[in-house]
Amino acid sequence: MREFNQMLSAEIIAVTGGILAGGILAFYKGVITAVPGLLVFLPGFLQLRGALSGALSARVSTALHLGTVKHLKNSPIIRGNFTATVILTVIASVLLSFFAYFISSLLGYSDATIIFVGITAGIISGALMIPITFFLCFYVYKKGLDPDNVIGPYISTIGDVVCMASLILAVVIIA
Amino acid sequence: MKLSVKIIKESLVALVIVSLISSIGGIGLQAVEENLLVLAPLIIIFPAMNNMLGGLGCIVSSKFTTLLYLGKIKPKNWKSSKDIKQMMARIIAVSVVSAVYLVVLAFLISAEFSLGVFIKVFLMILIITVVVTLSVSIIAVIGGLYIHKKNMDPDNFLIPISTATADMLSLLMFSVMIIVFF
Repeated sequence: MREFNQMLSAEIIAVTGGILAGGILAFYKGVITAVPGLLVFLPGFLQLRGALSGALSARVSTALHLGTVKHLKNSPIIRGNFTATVILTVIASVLLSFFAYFISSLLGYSDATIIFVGITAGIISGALMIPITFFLCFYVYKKGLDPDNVIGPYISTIGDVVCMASLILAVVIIA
Repeated sequence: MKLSVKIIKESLVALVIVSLISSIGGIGLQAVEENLLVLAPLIIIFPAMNNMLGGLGCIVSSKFTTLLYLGKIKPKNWKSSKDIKQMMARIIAVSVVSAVYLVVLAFLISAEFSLGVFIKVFLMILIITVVVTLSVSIIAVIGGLYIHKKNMDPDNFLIPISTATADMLSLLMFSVMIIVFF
């Protein structure tokens, strides 16, 4: 029952965060039409941020469970994970932006703005989400909760709101 | 440095696949753009539904990986594992309760209520949630065992793949159901 409660409370938070992100999108729905093909890019963008932070949190959780990581500072495992996630964030943003551009072109929305918007949004969201993921994993573990049960939804919730805000900011900057 | 290279190597293929899979889901959304922009509850629901199902995919994959590493699940007789059965039952129960909460909250926030639309959206989300949760759980278990057998870290591959599959399936089902219901 304890596990069920942990999972449910995390999912309720995830849904509430997602609704908040949806509310932001509904409020700024002009952004969707401002950059052609943005709806092709959007799910992948939300997904990639969740995937990168989700995988990062899962690796840190596993390391915490196994006892191979005890502190955030001076740990080669933490340093390795940080470097890898930063590099992956840049690669993933570039890849996804080009995929979105290519698919949009096939659908008849040929506008290279989506590439610049995508890369900018990816870098802004990564700069915020990577540190948040590390701190949250340690915080949850120290609080006596199982990070496996709760981190995924927390990360994807924060990630959705951060991503939506980053995307709107990127559209404002670029487009 | 070795660890960073290992993570990047193992994650890169998954990220390319995730980008492709998610973009396919995006095609579905682009196809129903007009309905999405007109019906406020739908545009509010879509990121939350994605988030909820992605989160569930993440929980299943992450829990399964930890159970494997802790030796509580043996790859040879995983089908009879009590831990897997318990995990699946909890995930399904959590997903149904979360889906109900999602629809009610979206309609409250949108301030647009019509009983007909509410029933349609409720049915849509419930069907999508149950189908996607079951599919992702199966992918997480079978994929996790396969990746573990290949001596790769399932954390690097399984979570991106299971959450991307949840995304693609949910978005495609969401788009098709919008076309059918609206």
